[in-house]
Amino acid sequence: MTAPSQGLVAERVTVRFGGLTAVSNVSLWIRPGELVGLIGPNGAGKTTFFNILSGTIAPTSGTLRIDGREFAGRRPDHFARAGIARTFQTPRVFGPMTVAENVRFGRAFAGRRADHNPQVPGEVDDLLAFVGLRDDAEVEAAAITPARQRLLEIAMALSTRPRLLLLDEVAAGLTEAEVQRMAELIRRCRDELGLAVVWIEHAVGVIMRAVERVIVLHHGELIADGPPGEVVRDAAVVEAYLGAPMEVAP
Amino acid sequence: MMRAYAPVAVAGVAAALLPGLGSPYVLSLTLTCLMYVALATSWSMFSGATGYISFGTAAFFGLGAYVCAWTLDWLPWPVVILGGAALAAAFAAGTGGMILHLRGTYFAVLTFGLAELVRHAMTYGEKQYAGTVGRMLTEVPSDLVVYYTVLALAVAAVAIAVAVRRSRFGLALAGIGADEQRAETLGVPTRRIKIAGFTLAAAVAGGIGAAMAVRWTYIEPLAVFNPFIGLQTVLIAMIGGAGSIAGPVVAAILFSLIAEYLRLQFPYAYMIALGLLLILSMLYLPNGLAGLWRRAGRVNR
Repeated sequence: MTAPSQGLVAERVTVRFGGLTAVSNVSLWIRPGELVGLIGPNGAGKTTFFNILSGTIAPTSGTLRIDGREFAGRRPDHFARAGIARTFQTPRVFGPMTVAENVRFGRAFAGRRADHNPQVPGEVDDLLAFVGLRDDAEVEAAAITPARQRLLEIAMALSTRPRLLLLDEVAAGLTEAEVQRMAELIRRCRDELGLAVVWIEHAVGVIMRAVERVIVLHHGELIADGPPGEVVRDAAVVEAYLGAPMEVAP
Repeated sequence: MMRAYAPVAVAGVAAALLPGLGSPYVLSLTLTCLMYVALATSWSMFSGATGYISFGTAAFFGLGAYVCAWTLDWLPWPVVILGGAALAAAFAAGTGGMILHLRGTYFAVLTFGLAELVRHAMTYGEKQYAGTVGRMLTEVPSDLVVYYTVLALAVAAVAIAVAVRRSRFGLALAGIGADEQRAETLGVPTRRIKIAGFTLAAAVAGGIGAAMAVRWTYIEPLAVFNPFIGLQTVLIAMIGGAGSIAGPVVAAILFSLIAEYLRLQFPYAYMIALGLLLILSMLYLPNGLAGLWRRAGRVNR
């Protein structure tokens, strides 16, 4: 891989917690406007890897470049201002503030300058309409359902007017219909707002149908990276992720 | 929102007119009220908003008092006050950078230790370099000058709190209080914001310390770094409701008056009564007087 100047490039990224290596030697490139799924069994290092990509933890070694600039070791607010936004596995909204205030917050900080993505609307109302939360604008964020808090988290992430959106299990615990709507919303983030999206999800089926590229982590190592059709047939993935090759009826 | 500030403004005007009307005793009592208005309001501005509970007010207050003791003879009075604020702010900015990554109990305990550390360092330093621990203040400004200085600082503290609340800076502080990591991922430079807030609150306490120092004619570490100053500031802010602006102001006045009454009427049971008051307010008024006020408003509607 020649060093690209656009998008996010991780090279030989490793994270160790004491004796445990959570992420080991991972190299990958997220191009602008890509829709990528990130899967792997429990404890594979998916969330740790997200924490590195958003600056929440610094890698032990390796480099991390955003549009050619080195970001490894910088603080999360620098990542946010460089156009990287994320959600958390359990929704982390500002409970005592209203839904609209939650979205206004990111707009007031990382989203103040539109230079990284002018395609994302700057108006709080438009962002709420985009995720379908306009009717809840004046409700306290703590009072809406967990499913809606996930939508709010996405609106908060969008309020920073990012170019890359990192979604950590946004479909977990949703009903089948809600999952479909979520997948649709994620696709619209890419198609209408021009975002690159990396989406972690446990439900492999949902991911495989929604994305163009799948990255598989196992024991902190990247074991596959390619189109969904290829990845599901990959021997290493079948072995690691599913435990054993799938039984095929004779 | 505006309605809540109206009684505060009325209280300010009344305090400004007081010296023409009140006796020296009333004036001195009001001075104590104003001192705690300034301390509790500036404390709430940072600690109330962010949840970084600081018991370090005494450190900043004492540093301000010592600046006054060192410079009163050769600097103009306003410069003495600003000097007190500046030293406290510089100290807060320096230590803030070292301790503001700690959360909850750890931060609270450390700020308490900080006040003690400064007290002992001052005792040692004064002994080494001045040969004495205490300092006499001989030529002090008139009571009236002190009164209006403290009043001005109290008004400034409330004005700062109102301005901060309406600013992006205030929003950042509130975000840190609600979920610091989330705020950071939304672009808030949390480290800088915390240091700035801690420093601003310390500046007010330092100014108050410099102004109040002249009330004692003899300055010594135990008096001006008294941990009770930090403790009472926290109590007042909590009783008033550290999330509001009017709450700590009202609580500062009530608390100072009640403390004075109890001290005169029941000199022995005074601390017990104050302690009980605190326990009761923690149990039944978790959001302080401000919460009570809001609840009453909801019932009336």
